[in-house]
Amino acid sequence: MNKVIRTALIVLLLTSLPVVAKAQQGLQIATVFQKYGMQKGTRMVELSNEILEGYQMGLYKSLSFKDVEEALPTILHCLEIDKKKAKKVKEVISGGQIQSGYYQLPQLKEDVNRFILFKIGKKGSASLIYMEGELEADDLVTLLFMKKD
Amino acid sequence: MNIEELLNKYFEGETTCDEERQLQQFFTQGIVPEHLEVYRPLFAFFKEEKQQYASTTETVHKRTVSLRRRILYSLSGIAAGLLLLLGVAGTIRHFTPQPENYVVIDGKQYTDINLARAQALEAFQDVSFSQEEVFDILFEE
Repeated sequence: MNKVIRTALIVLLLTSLPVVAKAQQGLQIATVFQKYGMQKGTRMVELSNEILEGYQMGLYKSLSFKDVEEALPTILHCLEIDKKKAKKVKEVISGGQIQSGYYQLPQLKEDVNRFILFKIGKKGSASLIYMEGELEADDLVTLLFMKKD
Repeated sequence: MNIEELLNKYFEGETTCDEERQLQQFFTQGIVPEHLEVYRPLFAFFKEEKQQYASTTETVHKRTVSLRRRILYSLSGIAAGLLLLLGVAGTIRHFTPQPENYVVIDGKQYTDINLARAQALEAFQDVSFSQEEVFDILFEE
């Protein structure tokens, strides 16, 4: 009887675990989206699938802060952790603090590249972006240069 | 050793367990000589007490075991129920179609695709490189 209960518990535990695993898996910035995404003074966007086809992306998530002061330590801490896993890191640091960061993470699976972008804007605003898809790093950089003009 | 010698030894407190069992058997099962008949109630009483004690101990032990088992089963049931609830809730959430494209502004969710796209573009422009940053990155390398 005990064996049956034990087996049932293990099976249930194992079946409920994959449900928890999601996009941004293994990344610390996922907690930033979770924590601040629904708060006042923020804008969180999630786009996926067909709408992003033209951009070779499968998932796009952004979180913009009107005033990042309160969340900044958490964001920087999370970026610091995720940075350790990154394949490529480009940061602009001013006064010892990251002003903008570009992080290319290891592929999630074949043809799924992952990127984190972060930038502190004027008047204390900031944006954090996570994207994944077939998009190559060069294409992303091109997009980033283009959009400003 | 005859029964009288054994009896004397018993009253002197020198008998072994085996010898006491022998005495008990003699007085409760066999034919007891008349001059020893006086001791029969004593050993009959001991036998009865022993049997009663044995059955009580067994009941207590059985009750303890069954209580422990019942608690264990109840706890296992509760744990299984909780896990089942979590699993079902997770599965429902997983299979419930969530909007794939949305924007949350100040905690309020909108599924207007044009608004979501515009907000996404705005955020993307926010992280785009400025000319100074391009120079910074170039000189860094």
